Amino acid sequence: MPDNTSAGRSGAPAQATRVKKSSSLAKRNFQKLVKNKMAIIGFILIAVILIMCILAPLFTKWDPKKVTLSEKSKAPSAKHILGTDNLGRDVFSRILYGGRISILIGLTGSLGGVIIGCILGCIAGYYGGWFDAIFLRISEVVQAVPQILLVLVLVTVMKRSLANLFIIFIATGWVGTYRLVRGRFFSLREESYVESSRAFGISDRSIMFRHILPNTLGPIIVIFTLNTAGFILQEAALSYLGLGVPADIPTWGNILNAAREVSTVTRSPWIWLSPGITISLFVLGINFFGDGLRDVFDPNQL
Amino acid sequence: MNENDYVLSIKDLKTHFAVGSRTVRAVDGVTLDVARGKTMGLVGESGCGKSVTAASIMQILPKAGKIVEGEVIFRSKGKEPVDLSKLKRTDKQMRDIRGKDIAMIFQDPMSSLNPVYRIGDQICENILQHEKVSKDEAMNRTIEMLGKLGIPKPEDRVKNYPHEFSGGMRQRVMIAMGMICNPEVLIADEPTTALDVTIQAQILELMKKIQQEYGTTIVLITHNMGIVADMADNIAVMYMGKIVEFGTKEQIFLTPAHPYTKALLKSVPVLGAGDGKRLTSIRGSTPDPSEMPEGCAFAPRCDFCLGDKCNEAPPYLDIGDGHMVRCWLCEGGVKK
Amino acid sequence: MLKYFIKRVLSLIPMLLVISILIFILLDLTPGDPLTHFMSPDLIASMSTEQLDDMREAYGLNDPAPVRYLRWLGNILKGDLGRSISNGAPISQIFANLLPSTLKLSLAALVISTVLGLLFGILAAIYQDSIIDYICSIFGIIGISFPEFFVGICFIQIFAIKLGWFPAQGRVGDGLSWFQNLRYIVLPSCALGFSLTAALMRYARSSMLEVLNKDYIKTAWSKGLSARRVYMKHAFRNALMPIVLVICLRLPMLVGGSVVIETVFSYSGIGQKLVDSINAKDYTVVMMVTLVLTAITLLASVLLDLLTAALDPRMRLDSKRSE
Repeated sequence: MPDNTSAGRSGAPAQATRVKKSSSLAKRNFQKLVKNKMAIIGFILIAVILIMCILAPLFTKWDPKKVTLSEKSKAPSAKHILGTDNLGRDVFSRILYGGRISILIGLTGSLGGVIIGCILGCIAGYYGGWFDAIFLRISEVVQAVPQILLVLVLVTVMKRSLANLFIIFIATGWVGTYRLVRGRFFSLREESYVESSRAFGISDRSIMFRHILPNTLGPIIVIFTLNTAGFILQEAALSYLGLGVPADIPTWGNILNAAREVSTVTRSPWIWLSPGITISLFVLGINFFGDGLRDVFDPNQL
Repeated sequence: MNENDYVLSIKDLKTHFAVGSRTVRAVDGVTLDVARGKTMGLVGESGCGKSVTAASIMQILPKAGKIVEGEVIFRSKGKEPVDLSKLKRTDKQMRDIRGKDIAMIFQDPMSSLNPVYRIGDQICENILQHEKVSKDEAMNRTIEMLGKLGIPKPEDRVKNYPHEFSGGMRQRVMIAMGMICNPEVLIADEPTTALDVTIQAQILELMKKIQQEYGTTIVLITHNMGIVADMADNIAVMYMGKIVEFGTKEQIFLTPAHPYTKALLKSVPVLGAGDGKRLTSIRGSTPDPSEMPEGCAFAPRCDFCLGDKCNEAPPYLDIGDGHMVRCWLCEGGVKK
Repeated sequence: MLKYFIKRVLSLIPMLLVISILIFILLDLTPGDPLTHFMSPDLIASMSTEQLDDMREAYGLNDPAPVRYLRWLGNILKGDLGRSISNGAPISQIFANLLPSTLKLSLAALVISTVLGLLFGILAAIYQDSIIDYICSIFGIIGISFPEFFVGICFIQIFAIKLGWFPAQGRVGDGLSWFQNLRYIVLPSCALGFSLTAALMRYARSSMLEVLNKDYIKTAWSKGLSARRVYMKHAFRNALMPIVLVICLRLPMLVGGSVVIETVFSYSGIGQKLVDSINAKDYTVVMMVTLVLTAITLLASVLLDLLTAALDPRMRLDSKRSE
């Protein structure tokens, strides 16, 4: 029976081989992803829009917040590529700068939700007991209420601000990851390799993070991608309703808010078509890429 | 033996699968004559193409599979012989034959029965598809058949769902479904593999009884030499899509000619063979079916390989009394 | 079957209780005079401070929270859903006016999505790799990427304004004939169901493909059944079950989506009322709408759950087992 010291020493080469094996699996997955044409198209869509938004000053000279009433609702021209909105602000620059916020909201909301869901799921899945019972109930309640109602209720009670929106999205978005991780833990912890690891004295935390979690990473990444898309759409819907991000901060949804009047819809289609199409293309890209990821990590899953 | 004594004559059947950019030659030139009223055992390892051969006969290949060459002559009693390989899956003629003249039972009765319908309805469906009888009469015949196959209280059990039966009972239900229209040929694809050993024996006895009573020709597909020794009159040994040896039970078991057959027989553990004796296994592993060599497919694993000679495809020779072997060792018609 | 039904309905009760408690707490936390929850603003304005204090006592507003919660809950169960803060109108009446329209809209969207989604998804599976399959995949992924309100606006622009086939706004009125009512619902329900159709199409396709690979389909073919029988009787029935589950899971999104779509089309339903109430800080209405819509969603998912049980004999508890 190896004692602690030799286990420490023999741990190093064992880990080296393990690292090598996992990198070849990662390489194979990567190759599979790259072969998927739709996934590549999706990635390009995401990358192009993202880069344009981050490097916004390079693409437009107009200030997205500057109100110039003399220029309001002008059709697309050489001066304003995508025209101006009903307050004279350049639509193209609003889309670029607004994209920063919209994408940021989507990413952070999703990331926050995934991280929290992961941690809670790990604890619940591994230890079970009352922790799991409580959080399972909570997750059921959160899932039962239509998400937009949840968000609307919280928006009503809290002040409208960017930070609050983050909090609200994270609070409603952790459920999916939680249930996934928890489920995986439940099914995997009964596996014999976990029992034998425990018998060898490996700590619980080590088992959790080194063995079970890497197996779950795949679906988690897929959820993260799809949630980002979902949150971007949600933010857009909220801002369209006038209940999301405060009106002075440009986001894709805020621009569409102008389309609440039928006159804008008919007379100034560029105001709502451009952000609408931009959102659709970006989310499309995410969905293409997410589908590709899903194929890589689990072709059988839905 | 004249032609009519063979209910099925398969000649040089080739079934290929398109998998991505590769072609898998699952069945690569199978020639087989199935004697009427007898049991033909089709043996081989997993993946050698036995099930695909059966599926080709029945024309129930998955979308990626296609018969590219060869013929499957079916000589039904009192009808014109017909080449099944030229019919399509949905042709009326093929559908009339399937289930009625040629029936098939599968390996896992739990997954082979539709879980949402009662078993009585599933069996009746077979009758009603092929014969113009009333629903009541179909149900009566179903109950009668189930009783004959050893299911207690069949009149009650017809109303049950597949998950309400044990494994052995489910396989009897499958056999009932196959036999209900009294087919001339019953193809059984690994019928006992998914069952407990004691139940296996019961099912095999049942099949023997059926053959005695109805005169059905049975094609028994299996990888288990023990079953074949018990049940089969004739045996065909398959390897990588080709028949490598064919003969009567006695010829195969007592005087095997092909090295693969010999290795198969040696690898079957024998009770009381002596303590400490190691099980012989065939060295190497089955090659990738999409990258098969042109010559003898068994050559890399063969202990008697003749070297370069075996890079050419060996001929299918008769070495006496209808005992066929595909091997260069038997060139000249003489067993070496 | 009956046992299962009762069990499911009973499991709803604790969930609804928890949700109602949360809603009550949130309602309590909202700013403003709680008296406005019970009396119309005109009435409040007309009273003196002492009279208002008396009213507070009368309404038990000084009692501890649990007591007030139980009273509130009791009122709801009796049918009194409180009053709107903005104009004192009884909320139950608001619901009576507006809820049916919303339900009609959601139901129409559900029916359209299910029919179209199933139809094309299954065809795509049967004719895999054909042009139908290709179109379905494209539409499937586009459908779930477009924001619902954007789809709605596009529909208005194309079908109402440019082509004039349907009215751009309005709702199911009482004075209109049945056919005229239909015209008002078509565009909003199609917009609402757009992404659900796409999702169902994708799901139906993969569910059907999975079923078509199963062994019992091989058995069905081997019985010489016609293609139609194999697909419709044997495959479809099995493919349906997970699809119903997916519909169940997406019901909350349908309800949520109606909030947005009603705003886009100025369709007077409970969703639009919700948005207006949020802007008007009409907390009682907001909370009550959330509670009721959640309850309806939960009920609908229980009904769908029962449908799944009806479809799958393995779930039925009253059939006899062998041995």
